[in-house]
Amino acid sequence: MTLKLTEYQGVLSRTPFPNRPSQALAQTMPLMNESDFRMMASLPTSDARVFLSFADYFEVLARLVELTLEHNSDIEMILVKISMPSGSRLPKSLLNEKVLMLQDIHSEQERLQNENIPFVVIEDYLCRFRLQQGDNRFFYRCYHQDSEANLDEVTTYLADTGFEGEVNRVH
Amino acid sequence: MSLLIKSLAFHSLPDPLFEQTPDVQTGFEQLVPVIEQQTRDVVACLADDEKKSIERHFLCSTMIELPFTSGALQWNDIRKNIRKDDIPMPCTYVNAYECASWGYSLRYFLTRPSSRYLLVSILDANLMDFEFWRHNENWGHSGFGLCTLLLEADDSAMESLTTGCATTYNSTAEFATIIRRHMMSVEDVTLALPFFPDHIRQIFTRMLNGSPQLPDLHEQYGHCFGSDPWLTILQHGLDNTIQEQQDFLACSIALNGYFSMAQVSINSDTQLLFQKSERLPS
Repeated sequence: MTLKLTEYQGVLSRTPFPNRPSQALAQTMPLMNESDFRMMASLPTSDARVFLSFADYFEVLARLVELTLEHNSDIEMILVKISMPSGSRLPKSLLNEKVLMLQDIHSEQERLQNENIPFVVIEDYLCRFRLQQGDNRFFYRCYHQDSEANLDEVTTYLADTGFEGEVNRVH
Repeated sequence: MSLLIKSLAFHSLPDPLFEQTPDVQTGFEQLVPVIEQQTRDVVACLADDEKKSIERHFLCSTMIELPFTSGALQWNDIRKNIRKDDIPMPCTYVNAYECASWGYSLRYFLTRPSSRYLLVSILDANLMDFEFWRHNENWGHSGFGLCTLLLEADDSAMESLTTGCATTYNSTAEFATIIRRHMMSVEDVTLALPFFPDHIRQIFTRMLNGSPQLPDLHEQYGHCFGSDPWLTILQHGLDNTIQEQQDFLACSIALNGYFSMAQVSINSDTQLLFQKSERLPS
């Protein structure tokens, strides 16, 4: 049976948890000499609006992993594109044995498609700080044998946390 | 259960890395020949059809994150540019688990192994010459280098691997307890622990004093992040004649508490390579 792709494409348009204070936890690496400042200044910066803190960001990702595993129990793997630093210890669900966090999902996404197992890809370009490249786009892809994988809880959660987007089914 | 080290290489990189620090992209391009050469050297012990059977080569790192996060480097572009037809160059970049990334990459691979052999490289190089990465109160002096492991995994290799995360914020002591518990259930296994300065090492020394341990090489190399356990196994293999199979528990712990332990073996056929280079041209 061939995998069918159901993809949510969206963009974060506001802070995910309005009226809830959270620690910023934003830490810039200590810069100690002229060279450090020069090298840091040479990196590209982002113009995208920053809507979430480090903790908010990992909370959203962790909840999406939990919802995926709760409502599509046959999912064998979840690839999560992660940009470091994390700022603090990652939530437990991101360390689940069905999750691999990696810098770029393309290579493994291709391999898992060829393996024909049900899997999910969470690929985001959400900005947590100015040094992070991104434009607040967000993708959730479910590769599944069923014609309609259950994305209802995921899309409801995304809408509740400030994402605007839609689901496309690619058969 | 078995995870056999077929080949293990460490290329010690200088500090500073370059005569004059170039932009990040140029700097990374200078490291590509180092990665390619080490990959070639490590798989040289295999027949051509065995080399071709290798489907996964994970590249792990603790330090090299800001160049990717900032968009100065794009892994997908690098991956396509460094591809070779005759050797399996790195395809997947994992740094989220910091020093424990090699173990989580192994866990992912062993869930559905696609071949008998796999490659894991660990690259920690001070590409941007940041002082923070040179010396740090959390681990003392840093050591830089590229380590590549060619592992042969049998059907039960997953049993050789433990990955997890400390539940307290006294991660090192908690990790030492987990190691101690593991060592009570095995025989003739020698510990290969991460390198730390004396005041941190004491946690391991005191809590694991009943278990045989390979030397902590912090004074010689500094803390080499995820490469530490592999470097001490390599040094042991180079300093001694390996006649029979020897078993080690390779252990790494990350600053945020993620940890990896793998029981691995070397034997008389294991290929061991050490190289040290002077500063790279800018």
